[in-house]
Amino acid sequence: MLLQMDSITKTYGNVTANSDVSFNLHKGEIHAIIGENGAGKTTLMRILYGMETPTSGSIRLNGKPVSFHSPTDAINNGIGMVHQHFMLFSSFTVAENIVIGREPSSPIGFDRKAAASVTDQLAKQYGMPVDPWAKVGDCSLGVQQRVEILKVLHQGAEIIILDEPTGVLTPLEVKELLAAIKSLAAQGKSFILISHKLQEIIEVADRITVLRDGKVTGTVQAADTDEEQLSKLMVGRDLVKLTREKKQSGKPVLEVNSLSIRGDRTKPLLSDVSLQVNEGEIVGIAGISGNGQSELLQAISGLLKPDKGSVRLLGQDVTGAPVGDIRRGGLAHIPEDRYQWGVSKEADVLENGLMGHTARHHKLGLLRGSSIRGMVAEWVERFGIKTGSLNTKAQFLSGGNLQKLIVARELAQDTPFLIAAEPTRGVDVGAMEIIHKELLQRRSAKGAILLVSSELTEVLKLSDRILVMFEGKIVGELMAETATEERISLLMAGGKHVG
Amino acid sequence: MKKHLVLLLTLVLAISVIAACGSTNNNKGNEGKSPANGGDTDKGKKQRIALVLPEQIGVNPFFALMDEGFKRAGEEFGVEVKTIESTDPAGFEQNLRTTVAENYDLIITATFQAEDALNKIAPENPDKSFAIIDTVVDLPNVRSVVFREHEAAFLLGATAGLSTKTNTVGAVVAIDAPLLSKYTEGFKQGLAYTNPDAKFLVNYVGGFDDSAKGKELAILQHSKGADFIAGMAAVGDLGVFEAAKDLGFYASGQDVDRTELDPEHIVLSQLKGTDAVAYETVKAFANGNFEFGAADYGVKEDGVGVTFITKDSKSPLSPFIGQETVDKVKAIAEDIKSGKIEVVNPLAK
Amino acid sequence: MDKVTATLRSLVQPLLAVIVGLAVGAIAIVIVGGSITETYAEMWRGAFGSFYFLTNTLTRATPIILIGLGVALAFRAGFFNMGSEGQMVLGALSAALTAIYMPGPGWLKMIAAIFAGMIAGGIWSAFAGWLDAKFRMNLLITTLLLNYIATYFAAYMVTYPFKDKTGSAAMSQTVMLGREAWLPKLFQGMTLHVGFLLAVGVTILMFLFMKHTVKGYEIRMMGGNPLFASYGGIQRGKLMLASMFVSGGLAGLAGSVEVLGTQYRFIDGALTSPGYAWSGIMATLLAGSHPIGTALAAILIAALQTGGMGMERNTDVPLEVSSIIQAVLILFVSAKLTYSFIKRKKAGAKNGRAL
Repeated sequence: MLLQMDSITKTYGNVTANSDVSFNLHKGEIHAIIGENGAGKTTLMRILYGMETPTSGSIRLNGKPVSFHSPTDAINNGIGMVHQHFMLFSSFTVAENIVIGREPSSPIGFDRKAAASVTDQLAKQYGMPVDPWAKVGDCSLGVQQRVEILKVLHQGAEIIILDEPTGVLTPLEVKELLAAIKSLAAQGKSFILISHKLQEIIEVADRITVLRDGKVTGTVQAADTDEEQLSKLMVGRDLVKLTREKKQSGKPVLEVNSLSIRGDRTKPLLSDVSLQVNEGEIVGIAGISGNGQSELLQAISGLLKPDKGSVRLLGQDVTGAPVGDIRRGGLAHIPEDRYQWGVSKEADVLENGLMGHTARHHKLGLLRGSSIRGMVAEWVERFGIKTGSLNTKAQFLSGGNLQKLIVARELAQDTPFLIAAEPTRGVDVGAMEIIHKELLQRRSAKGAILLVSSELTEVLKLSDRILVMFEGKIVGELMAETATEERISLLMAGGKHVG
Repeated sequence: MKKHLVLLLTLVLAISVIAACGSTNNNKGNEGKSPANGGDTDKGKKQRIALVLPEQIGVNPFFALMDEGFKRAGEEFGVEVKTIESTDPAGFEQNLRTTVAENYDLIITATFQAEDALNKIAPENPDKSFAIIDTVVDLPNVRSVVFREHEAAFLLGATAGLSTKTNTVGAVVAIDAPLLSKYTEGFKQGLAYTNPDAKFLVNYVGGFDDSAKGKELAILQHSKGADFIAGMAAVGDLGVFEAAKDLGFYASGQDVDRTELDPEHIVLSQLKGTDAVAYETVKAFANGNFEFGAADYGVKEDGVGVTFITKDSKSPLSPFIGQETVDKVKAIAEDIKSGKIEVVNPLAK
Repeated sequence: MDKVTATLRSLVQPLLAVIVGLAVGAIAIVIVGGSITETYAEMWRGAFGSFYFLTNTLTRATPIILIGLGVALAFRAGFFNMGSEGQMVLGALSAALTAIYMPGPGWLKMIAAIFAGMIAGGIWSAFAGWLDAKFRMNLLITTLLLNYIATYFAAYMVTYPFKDKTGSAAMSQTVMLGREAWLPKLFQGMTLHVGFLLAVGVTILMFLFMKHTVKGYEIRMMGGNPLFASYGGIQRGKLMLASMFVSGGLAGLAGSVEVLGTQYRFIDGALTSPGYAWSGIMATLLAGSHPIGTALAAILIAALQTGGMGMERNTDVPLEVSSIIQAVLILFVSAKLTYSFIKRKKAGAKNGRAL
């Protein structure tokens, strides 16, 4: 047994994050840990990586008891971690990032050439090609992830912790990453994989440990399980199968006509995009991120002025109108990047919840505290948002809970039209279920929804029609009934126009 | 928890304030009885005199000298003296008020910058004694001590008139204000007395702290033929000195002996005895012959003067002036002292 | 409990800054050969030692509070208004000229002067905001540079066209205001004037405004994350101009009450040499832009200054030592400032790209 964590318990005040958790790892094994947000996965990994000390319990490495007091301890003992948010210097080269902290030196200082050759050697050894001289900031997220893994390997890691490694990757990059993990495992490296994506985990992991409320609810062999069983272990009950009611025909709510945005790059960010979303309809937009989806949504919601074309909401021309006017005209917006657009981290839950709702909660310009409190408290209850109190600052909420807060806030705007961009990014299965249910309910109530998601399964599951974007253009439109993952993937990669 | 602490602190503060308030009132009660004027010396208690300055002394010779004379008098006459500098006008007013509250027997202040505050505070405290140096505040409980700068300027002008080779002299003056006409008019009278044909150039800098412009104007006057230029522009004088050194003409400074800076070019300095005045004020108060109203100090009282003429200098005498001229002007100074020559004060017109 | 801990935590940094400031001051006192306890006792006495000294401190705090509040408002909205000095000077000049030249009864002159001061300060500040909105000129730089224009313009006005030609005429200043336009003193023979009550009133109003009004909420959100605010439909341009106007208006008010309540005329340099503006900015930083905290910090800074004067009056320790303590304070506060400034800079860069 390479690593053994026995009866780990960790409490913060009266909150128990891990309760009697045991976990082990063989050499060359890929062991996944899954669980809902706040189930205790992150705490467990922080303990292993030396960022927290357990309240009780022991860790043994190769049979010897160890205790880490800092990540440096963990690294020196062959444990490496790739965080969800990459910790790279974007203005440094790939090689510089990989050798950081263990730089090869020449008599006059840092030896750039040696660093590059070390990088080349690592890349070859582990089958993860990178360009040592490229600036990290210019690399795609998939390559950046490779750099992170190579960095950890360069530090001599035998055990590699990957926290949500596929969250930001394109389907192709995910495939490459999973293949790389498998090949590294075959070379004797061991992996601990934290993820929400059950399908990927079943595909790549050897064993899967499920956590719920800080306790282990089961450790299963990946070969013997399926998504349903895992979901049940995570949520503690059977998940309801969502059913989509038959689509009702309705009047157009959003009409976008040949919208174009030049941008300062050579290729236009958006070129001649037209689309329409009707009452009681969910239109999904699929595409690899960075193909114009963000700009399209920003142009619709008034955050970005289009160079050409028009946007009509409920028959009103709102092209280039101020955001406030468009929102009042009937738009709600779940933003794709919650930290950038969706919240103010310094503000508390109440204040973040109030955005866009002030008109309904004031008297002569004075905020009505109790009615705001009541509104947000109801969301917290309904969506199961885990927060210390309504006055907890947003920065102390986990990403999933914050997402639930944003979704609740935007659904509560109760507008005829809703933009839902990556509505379930980073949320757990239970919350995903709630959010999907709410979106479908909105559809049944004759709401119009424009859904943008990098999760093909989500798009397929919810949409009535699916548009595929590639390089700022809509390259295909498919009806839900006839769409398949393969067809969409082909279009997303810039394949031929279909249908 | 912290809120309670703050509350507690506030309470403590409030109580101490009330207590202190009571004790201040007591002080005021005493104050009413004690003689306001130090005329009859109280044997039991040392007299206390404060010198409150509107600026920090820093390197300003005007104030440094005043402080020196003030302290010397304090030692000699057994009076407790305290010099208080201020950072800014608001702070000055507070300092002045505080010395009133702290019950000093005499409060001395100085310069036109102090006028406003004294005009406010002196009438509010009619039984306190004040003195102000270098400007007049016409109030019943204020002694104003001013200088007859025009007399010194007369001597300076007379010396310049005897020394100039080009028959052209100049003056670079801070601003065109009545106060400074004492300098220019006095100079003009002295110049006319010794050298009626000499040309006199006057230019104004427009402020007290612009040495660059002072230099510019000095260069201009030199180009018009002036071989002696009197600096009357406070910091602007430094520009005049610089120009004198660059172009090789002669200059004079103000207030203290500036010849020490560059004896080759700065050949004279018009002196203002702030030390003597501060000293005399303390002395008068200690000896019981302190009077309110205006007093002025001229050449006779050694309140003003010119280097080499009324006071020796460490610097060597410049050949531009020459001992002969010095002797002649010394005689003029004696005539001023005796009243044989009367220098007209332009402000008195 | 949550709030108590939060307040406690927010107090740690300013208290630490004060303690370290005093400790470094103690070293300075020892170096100049003074007694630490005696010096600090005199400092305390000079600031709070009696009712008289307390009012002195509060008088000095009055303009600092008002400026601090103005800066705090701008900071909360995410804008670095470093132009308080110029806004204050223009406000003071406008107030003085209005009080001198406006006909009518005293109370009318007084109120008109106060409003003139606020409007002048507000317009000067909003002008910087407009330059940012229209030409994307960096607000930090424009506000800072507009200070020079304002102070030199005011200096020109009182050196030439509006100069007091009576008396020795050696000072660049306006004539004295008529007695009827003076802000009443609160206590006989003490410097404290009605302006202090105004400052207290504005503090409370600002606190309530920020916490309990829609506009206050919008301002805080814009300061917290400008992208979030614009995403939520808050119009940055309008709100920015409005908050810059109020911010500068408060600086103008500070200048007005200083003229109407203390100096009774506009004197060139009388508002800049005490460094009211920078003390106000410091108070804001010390208190993390919290209105009531800013007012308290302003009183603390004023106390350091009046205490320093007391120390200078009654010990042989020079005034500079209290300046050293103040400087150390700034140093420790600025450590926090640069940190938060860099954070905001990053957000700003993103903002520029996205909008």
